[in-house]
Formats: sequence, structure tokens, C-alpha cells
Amino acid sequence: MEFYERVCGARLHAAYIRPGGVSKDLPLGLSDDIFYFINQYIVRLDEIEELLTNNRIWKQRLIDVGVVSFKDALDWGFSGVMLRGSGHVWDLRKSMPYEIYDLLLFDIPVGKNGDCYDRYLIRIEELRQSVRIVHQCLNNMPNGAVMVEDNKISPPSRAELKTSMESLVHHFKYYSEGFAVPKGDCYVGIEAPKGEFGVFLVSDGSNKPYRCKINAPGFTHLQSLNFMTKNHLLADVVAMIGTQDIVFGEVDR
Amino acid sequence: MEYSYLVRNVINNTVVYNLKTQTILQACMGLGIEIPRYCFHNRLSIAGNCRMCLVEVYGIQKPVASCAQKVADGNVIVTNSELVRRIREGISQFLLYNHPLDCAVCDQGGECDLQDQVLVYGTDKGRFFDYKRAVLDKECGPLIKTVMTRCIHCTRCARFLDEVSGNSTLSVMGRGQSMELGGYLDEIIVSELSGNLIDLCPVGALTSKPGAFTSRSWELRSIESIDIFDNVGSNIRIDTGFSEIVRIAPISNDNLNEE
Repeated sequence: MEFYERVCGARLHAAYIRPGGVSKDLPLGLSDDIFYFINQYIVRLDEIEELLTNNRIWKQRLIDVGVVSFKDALDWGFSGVMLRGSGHVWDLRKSMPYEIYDLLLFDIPVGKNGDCYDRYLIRIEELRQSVRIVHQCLNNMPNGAVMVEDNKISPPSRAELKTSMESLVHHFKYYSEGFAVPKGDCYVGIEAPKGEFGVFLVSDGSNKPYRCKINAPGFTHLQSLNFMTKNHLLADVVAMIGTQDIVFGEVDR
Repeated sequence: MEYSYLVRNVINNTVVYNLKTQTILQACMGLGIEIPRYCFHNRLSIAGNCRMCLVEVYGIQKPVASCAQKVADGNVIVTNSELVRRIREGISQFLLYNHPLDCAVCDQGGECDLQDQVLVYGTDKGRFFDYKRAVLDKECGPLIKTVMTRCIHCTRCARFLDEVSGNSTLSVMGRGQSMELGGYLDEIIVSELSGNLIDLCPVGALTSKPGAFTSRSWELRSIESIDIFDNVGSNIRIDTGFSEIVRIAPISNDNLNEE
């Protein structure tokens, strides 16, 4: 969270990735700090695993709890860890690579039994893979501009605003009206930590979307809670909601 | 020739038959081709001085002002070539050369022809880094607020006063950098139709004095209506915002306005 804030300046609504690039460059020293952090983080991760992975109580509470079969996972429209926990090899970063994921080296952990313990193991392994990805990104961070120079789709700098009428007009129109998107529709899905997170947009050729539909993974996962908790103890619901990794903000929209 | 009132043209690779009396701009509008313009107005005489509507006609060496040029038989007209694009960019840069950096404080901001057309047809970066000229504001009566530095000399206001309201109070004086619209000494615009100048002005040179600094165009909701204060049934647009009427602007109704 702290790094996130240092890059974009906001705590939650980053608005960091914008049409044409990103809003600003990385702050000085950030890459060093991230590097120190992930080195310490790997150690902390080992400590967590030492405490939990072979812990008798932990295994009692997770193994064979909330079992989702291979078929059920597909039938309920699962994605992300919920799908991989049941043995389905599916990760959008591998199966439909977007951005630079086809250039990065990382593995996709897949479960076998589809219970909470498998999903826990997958999440822990994904943390390690994330560190691997961060490592590669830090080492291969390219130099160059963070935003395209074309002011038709990116706002001009504040300095240009004081002298150039063209920049002023484009700045004014960019922030008051935006730019027109060609007619059509598109769906883009990404592999978010919780599953497939997608946005479906329809444009009627104007500056506002005609329709915007957000596909949040938590919504499809929460609806299966009923069938997952059947014949379980009430206390197991906590573990299942935990492995589903629900954020109610994305479910209740 | 029986069909002598029709001429055959090719506009952007489309063959069309146009009336001889039509201008190139009208012919293009009939095809749905948008041509940027500042000085041209449907109800006013043709001035052809903004040069924004220049198009290419094969056989004519220089680009022609489409608002002023009548179509001729066999004309091959191109409105989307590289040359036309560069002309529009160039004209936009010249217009902005002396335009003050007023968008943030200008009432026209958001519904300004200059902004819209620079955004679509202009370059995104200026090439002129000179001091801008300043022009003294004119006194235009109780309705019109003037910031004449913003004027782009489309002369719509001068032509309107001349042709419609019938008293030529405004006209163009000087040329080049010292060009400005003005009247004899400090003559005031006395026409009862002077409010139309606010609507005619494509930029923020002539704006509404009572409605100054009250709203932005995108905050308002428009309803079309009929003016009850005159007996000709003029069509008007009522813009409301902040739960009250903010301004009343004229709109065109061809059944009523066409003479």
C-alpha cells in the first residue's frame, strides 16, 4: 500500500494508468525500497509457512473443507484461485497473455483436491511468484517517457499551459469533455488476485461510454457459498469466505 | 442543355450532382462531410475571410475557400487530403497566435467553436512564442460583454448588424496585427437585435453580460421553447441549471426563419 501511494499519490483510487501511459514517473528511490522490501518479504513468507503449512490445527480446519470439484468450479463460473484450486489450469496471464506477461517468467500453481487447504497453498505460492515477477520488473524497467506526447489523448503539462494556447485548449477540452472513442464495444479481462476481473464497454462514438459493465470475480464466487457450505459447520464458513477472498465492495454494486 | 441547372462533381471519390447555385461547402454538407468554418453562417452573406474551409479542387492550383466558391461542372473536390489537413492546422495556429490564454475565465469555454475546431483540426502544440497583442474592449450596450482581444475577426457580428439589423455600427478596421472590429468613435450598438451577436460570435469576444461567470455549458440542461415576448414566435432554447433558468439563447427553425 505504501509503495502504491508513493507512485500515484492516492490511497485507493490510483488513476495511475491513463489513456496514453501512466500519470507520472516513479518517484526517486522507489525501486530500491521495493527491492529491500521483497527481500525481507520472502523471509516473512517463510515464517508464515513455518507456522501454518504443517500446523496440525491449521490442516484440521482446512483440509476437506469447502471442496469444489473440477466440474462444479466450471459450472459456477469460477475464476482465479477458486478454479485453479480444483485442478483447472487456467490463468489469463498465461492463457491469454496481456501487457508484458508473455515476457515474464513465472509459474502457475494448480491444486488437486479443490479444498481450502489447496487454495491456501496456491495463494502462498502465488505470493512467491509475485515476488519473482516484481524482481524481473525491477531489473528490466525500461527508460523513456511515461506518457505519449500527443495532447489529443493525454493532457499537456502545467508549464505548457502558461504559454501555449493550443495546450490550453487541449487541456480544457480534455478535462471538461474528454475525447471521443470510436463506435464499438470491447471486453478486457485481467487476472486479478481474486480471479478474472473484466470491464465491458460499449461506445456510441461520443465522449461518454454508452454502457459500462464490470465483471468482478467476487460476485460469481459469493453466489456459490451456499453450495460450498452445505453439510459444514458454521465455523467453516469463515475459512471458505477467506479462501474465496471476497471483498464486499466489489460484490455489492 | 435541359439539365443545365445540375453539375456533376466528385467529392472525396463520391460522384454527386449538385445545383449550380450551390457552394462547395453546401455540397459537402449535403454529403454529410463536415467542413470547419468560422466566418460562414447560413443566414449571413459570404465573407470567406477565416480560410478554415479551404479544400482542394483538382485543376485549381491553390486551395479554394469552399464557402465562397460555387460548384462547377466536373469539379473534383477533396476535403480529407494531407494538404487540407495541414491547411487547417496552419489556420488554427494563426488564429491562436493572438488569442489570449483565457479559456479558464472565458464564458464561452465548453461551447466555443475555436476550442472545438482546434481540438479536432488543429495541432496539439503551438509553434509561436511571441507576445500577444491586446485590443481595447468596445462598449456594446447592456447585453453584450466584450473582450475584443479574443476576437478572431470572423466578421459575423459586423455582417449581422449590416445585413439584418440595418445599422452598420461595427466594421473591420486595420489589417494584420492591428486588425480589429470597431465603430465610429465610441458609437454604441443600439439595435434591439444586438443580443443575437452573443449567439453569433464563435469565440468568447461577445458574451452575455447578465449571464457572465454564472455557469458552464456542460452544467446546463436545455429545453427548446418559443419566445412569448414577441409576436413572431421566435424559437428559443432555455438553459436551466442549479434549479433556475440561467440563460435563453436563440435557435434556428427553418420553417420560421427562412424568408
